[in-house]
Amino acid sequence: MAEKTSVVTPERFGQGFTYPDYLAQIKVNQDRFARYYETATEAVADDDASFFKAAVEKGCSRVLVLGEDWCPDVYRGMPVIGRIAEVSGMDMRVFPRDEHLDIMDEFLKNGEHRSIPTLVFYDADHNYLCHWIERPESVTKEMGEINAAVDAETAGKDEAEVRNARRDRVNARFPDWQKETVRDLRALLSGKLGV
Amino acid sequence: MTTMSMPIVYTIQGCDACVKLLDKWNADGVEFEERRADLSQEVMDEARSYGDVVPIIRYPDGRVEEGFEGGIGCFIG
Repeated sequence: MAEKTSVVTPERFGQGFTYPDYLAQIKVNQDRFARYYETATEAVADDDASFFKAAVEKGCSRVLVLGEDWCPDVYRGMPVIGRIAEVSGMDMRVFPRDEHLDIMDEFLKNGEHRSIPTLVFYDADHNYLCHWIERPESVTKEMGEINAAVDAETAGKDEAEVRNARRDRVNARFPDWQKETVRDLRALLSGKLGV
Repeated sequence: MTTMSMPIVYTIQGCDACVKLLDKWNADGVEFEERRADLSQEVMDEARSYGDVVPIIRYPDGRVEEGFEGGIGCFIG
């Protein structure tokens, strides 16, 4: 990505929603954002808070978040970065994806998909540092394993029963997947900043 | 209880498969009712009771379909 030609200028970054302002205007899933903020506070342990504070001191002072409130990856993942920003002092600004496709298109997954949440980290002078997309690879792998297992266990059963079995199994993993997200973000920033 | 006379389709903004479905139906002159799941919790919950991936189509005969012609729908489950 050519950062000098990015549509995300410092001025535009400043126009994004703060996390509380974003939550105040979403139309769906307020309860899920709240529920997974509670588990996010457990996912970001004291040691993690120290790490992200050090990351901010080393220059990672801003994070742009692209998301949409209807998306499970977003209402699971955005509270994690919200909590990280809260404990570290990182300036977090949220941009609804579908109103900011020009930003989204700078950070396509595999150069193709408008996947969310997408997190973009900048230093205090708004230089691009790195970005993170959607969910950890380990979580994607586990999702596939759960789907396969549920399909095998519920063969021949009613579609609603299969759907509920899958949801129960997946949702039960959300708190651990938030912890995995914290580990993933630590690895990303550690490699970039040497924290 | 009301009887459906036309398909009901649950969509969200930004869903390519939803756009393709509605474009095709409009071109074919299909009458349908669109319900936007991203605009209200009530519709979101209703959509989730029928499927995980929009577009979710409920036909008058009771059939339910998710997605459109193999396109990438959006997961809301």
